[in-house]
Amino acid sequence: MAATDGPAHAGASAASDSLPDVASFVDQAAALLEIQLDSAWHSSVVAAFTSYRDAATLLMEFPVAVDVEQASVYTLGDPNDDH
Amino acid sequence: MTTTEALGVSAIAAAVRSGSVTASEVAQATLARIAAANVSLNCFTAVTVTRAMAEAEAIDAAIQAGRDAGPLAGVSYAVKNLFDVKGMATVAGSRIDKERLPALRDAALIRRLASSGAVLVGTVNMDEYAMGYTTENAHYGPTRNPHDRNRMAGGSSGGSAAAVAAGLVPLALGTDTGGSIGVPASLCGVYGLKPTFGRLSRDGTRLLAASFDHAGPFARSVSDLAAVYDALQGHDPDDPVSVRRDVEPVTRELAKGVEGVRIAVWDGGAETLATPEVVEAVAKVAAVFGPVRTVSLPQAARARAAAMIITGCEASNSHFSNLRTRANEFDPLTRDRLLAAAMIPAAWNIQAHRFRRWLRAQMLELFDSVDLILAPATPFSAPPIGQMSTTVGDVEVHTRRHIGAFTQPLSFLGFPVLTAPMARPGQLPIGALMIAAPWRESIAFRAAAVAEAARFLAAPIARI
Repeated sequence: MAATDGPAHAGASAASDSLPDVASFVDQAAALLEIQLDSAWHSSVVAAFTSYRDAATLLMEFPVAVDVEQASVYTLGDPNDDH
Repeated sequence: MTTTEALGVSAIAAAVRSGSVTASEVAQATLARIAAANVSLNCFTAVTVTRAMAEAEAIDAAIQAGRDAGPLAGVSYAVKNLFDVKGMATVAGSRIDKERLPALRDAALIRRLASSGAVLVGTVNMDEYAMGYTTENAHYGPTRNPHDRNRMAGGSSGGSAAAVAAGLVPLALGTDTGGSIGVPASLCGVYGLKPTFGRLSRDGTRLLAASFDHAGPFARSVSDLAAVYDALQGHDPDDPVSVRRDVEPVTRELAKGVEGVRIAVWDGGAETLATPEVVEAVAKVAAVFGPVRTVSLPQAARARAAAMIITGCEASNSHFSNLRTRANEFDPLTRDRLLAAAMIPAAWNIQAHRFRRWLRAQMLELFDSVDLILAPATPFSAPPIGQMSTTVGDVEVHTRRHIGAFTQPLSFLGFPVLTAPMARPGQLPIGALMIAAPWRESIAFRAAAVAEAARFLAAPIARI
């Protein structure tokens, strides 16, 4: 399997330019997930999510070919199959 | 009381089997060392005195009865406190998991060591839930580096590496998700093995990121590491990722040398990721093998990014219930990252998994032309405990995050990595990674044995 030379994964282009405000996203996601964010650590969580976002931006820009499947963890296959 | 501190695994086992020392005497000496040193190092979170003496007495009884006491007869060892130990709560560096019921049986690798005659003397400190590189644990305190107690031991298996480096035990078990064996081995100056993913059972361990958690040993010599690795191997149906593969002992491979082995040095911009002393030290070790080529690990920065996202997703899912209801009881260093990771969109996680698949193919292709790749294990030697930033070249980097610059891209792929302590008398330890193709741990062992014999690798006991 090889990387394609084609366009980046759908939705990845210019990700950092179009991202919503991270703090707002974190607040909304926390509410949706029923996670209580204490004000004492709110800014640290936002900073941590920003790190994940930056990592994701790097990844989503990378053109992985559509036929590259994620490595399996769940399997019904041959136990001799290494991955 | 006998002195076995400086002896290796094979020497201790031979002495016990021959009757020149009893397993009970070895255990007593080990427990005395721990009692004397743990106050200043904070390696051990529990010392299993009763169990250790019972196991040692059983070994002595077996020998007296003329039975084979096993290849590791009477050898003391410790385990990271995420391994299940029968009768103890598996705390995994956390406060929350102290409430867990005592484990009903030992983790698979502990059972293997017990059947080889080894004696468990305790459980050791780690980053909470293995999510860190420093073992600066808010609940149990930082484990201190035996070579300089003001400095980090590395993590997350910091207690394991420090206990071995200090000569408290000749071997210990740890786990690795993004470098949690390689990093502490490097900073504490001992050998560590992260085997191929699926090689050693993780049954009975508290997982961080199930799709790439590994278990592995620490020791102070190549032959010790080989001896324990050989004892640990074997398929385990209780670990869903354990591969049904024949045991491939490496001890008998150690003397084979590296003739014909194609060795390369990772030139993935190491000089920009690591301090000059680290780059120079790796070059010295590489010189043992003669002229070697350089190779680049493709997309190393993206590999770290993918590892970070998958680790976050799997770890936060594992702790999701407690993140919702008991977040204030986590170590702050862990909590904030787990909370943030719980919010990672699925698209990012799936892209990370697909990228991993792509990268694995690239790495396998790379190993068509080389057999072993050398790289720094950490970008710098042990930083002071609590140090937030470190200067690498002209760049100020986030200390805790940057420590995994070399290990994380490799651990996440599951390739075997042996971390070897480079000989640096009078200086803080730094390790070299010896990276092989899947299931080729023996190549890394052979290369390490050559470099150790040439005195380019060494793991002297730290004087504390």
